[in-house]
Amino acid sequence: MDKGYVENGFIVDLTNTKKTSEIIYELSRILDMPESKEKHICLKLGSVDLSQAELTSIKALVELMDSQLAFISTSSTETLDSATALEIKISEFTNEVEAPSFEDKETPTEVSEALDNIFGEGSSNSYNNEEPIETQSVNEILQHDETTIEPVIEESDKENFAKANEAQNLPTLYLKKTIRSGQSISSDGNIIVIGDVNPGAEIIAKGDITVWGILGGIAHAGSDGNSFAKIRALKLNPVQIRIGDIFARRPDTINIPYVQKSCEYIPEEAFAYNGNIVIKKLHDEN
Amino acid sequence: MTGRVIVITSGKGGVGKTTTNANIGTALARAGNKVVMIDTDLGLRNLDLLLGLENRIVYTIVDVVEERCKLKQALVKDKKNPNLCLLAAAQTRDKTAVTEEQLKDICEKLKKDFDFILVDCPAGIEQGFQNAVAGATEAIVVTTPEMSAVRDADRIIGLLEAKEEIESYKLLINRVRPNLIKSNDMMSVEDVVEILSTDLIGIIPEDTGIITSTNKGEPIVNEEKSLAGMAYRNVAQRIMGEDVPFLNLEEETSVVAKVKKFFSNLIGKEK
Repeated sequence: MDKGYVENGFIVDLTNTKKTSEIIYELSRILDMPESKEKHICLKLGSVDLSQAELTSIKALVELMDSQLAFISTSSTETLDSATALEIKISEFTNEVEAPSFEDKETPTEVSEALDNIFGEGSSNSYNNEEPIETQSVNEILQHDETTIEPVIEESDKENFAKANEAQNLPTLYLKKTIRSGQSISSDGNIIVIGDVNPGAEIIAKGDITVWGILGGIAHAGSDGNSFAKIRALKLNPVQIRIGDIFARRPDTINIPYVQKSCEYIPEEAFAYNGNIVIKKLHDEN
Repeated sequence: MTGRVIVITSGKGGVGKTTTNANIGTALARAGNKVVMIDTDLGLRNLDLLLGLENRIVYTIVDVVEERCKLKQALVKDKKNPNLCLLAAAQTRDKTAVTEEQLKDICEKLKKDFDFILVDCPAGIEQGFQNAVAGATEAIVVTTPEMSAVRDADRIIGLLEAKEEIESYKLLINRVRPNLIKSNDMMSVEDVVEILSTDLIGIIPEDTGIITSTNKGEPIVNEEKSLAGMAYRNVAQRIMGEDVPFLNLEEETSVVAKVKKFFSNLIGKEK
């Protein structure tokens, strides 16, 4: 137990919360879900100072849902003291333990395989158990390995190099609005959209497509067959994506009609490699 | 007097355009405005039923454009409120019987005598929609928190944006069920607003009273106690330019919700 391994339970990561009320709110939201019933719950608390009374409240809240507070981790000494006084187990667990315990329980095998492909084994700490599965939706059918990403730029005989940089010399259409269902935008150059591209809309460009928002419709970059074109968005959630002559669609297994907006976007980029479309998160680590 | 011409539209059928029209119109008239409603759903007219005016219709909008009667003769006065009038659609004709120009013309004439002209738009994006929008300068897009309705509303907003005559459009979310939103079985109001990135003018809760009120031909705004009626009255006030806060539809019913509230209050006091 003390090593952070939980049987029939899960870890609630509340390290981002700043106030007690936030903790209560987030926790009750999670506990409200039917799958949270009768589980051992491990709380990861950040630097919030919790008094004994507050901790008792949290414990009572968990027990109200027929669950148990297995143990907590915290960086605050006050919380630590109150937990000791209340005889709540304290643990320091690491991410290596956290991710598998979640994946074993909640993630279907095909998703976890895809996740392994994306993150590579052992790097599962970038996978947060609070994160909805849909963020990986498009990546999933693409089955790529992170190691395959880099060679694209390296591969540079002169003709390809020229083609790869072709987008730079094209004119750019700049649109500052939401592209809505039924609207179709096409351009002989690049397209930049400041706003969302809603499902049912279509964007076709000879060059690159960049969306400063959620891309939810159909996007076709390099429409004259240039497979070096790229599609970027703060959030890629397209129904279909085409680069040059290559085509990919959203998997049937996970159908997300819409993506909730959040302030935590990791921009994504789609490009063609070896006849497949690869989506890469533009994370600081990469 | 120059009236405001507001078209009430949705794209998808069955989301409550006509109900919204009848209720907002009645609420505006109750507040002392002179209101006329135009039903442009030729061949499938319903607005007269909702207002309980079916038996009083003598002339329709088609009779007006084909000059069988004067415009004033075709206006049916409401049973209760003399400020409220209806220009009914013809049930025996189809959408081609009236053109965009003719509708524009009718709106222009009505503007002189009324504060508000509410145009009830048929479902779809074909000629019927084009006709209804022709004379309007403002629009209310009705949607429900369902993916199909939101998608169609998105399409409609796209079409409205392309029309130069439409100066502003607002979103009205109908048939909201707070309990379903709470259990994550329904899109929340915030989700819909974010997807459509449009200003909100009203949130109307699902209310079984709407069904009885439709059958009776008595708009629900006339029922003081009804939550939906109250929501519609608030929409009317917002149209009139007043700043009315949105109703809190979240009746916290589940045990967890109550406990949550209790603890947050408790902790709030301690701090």
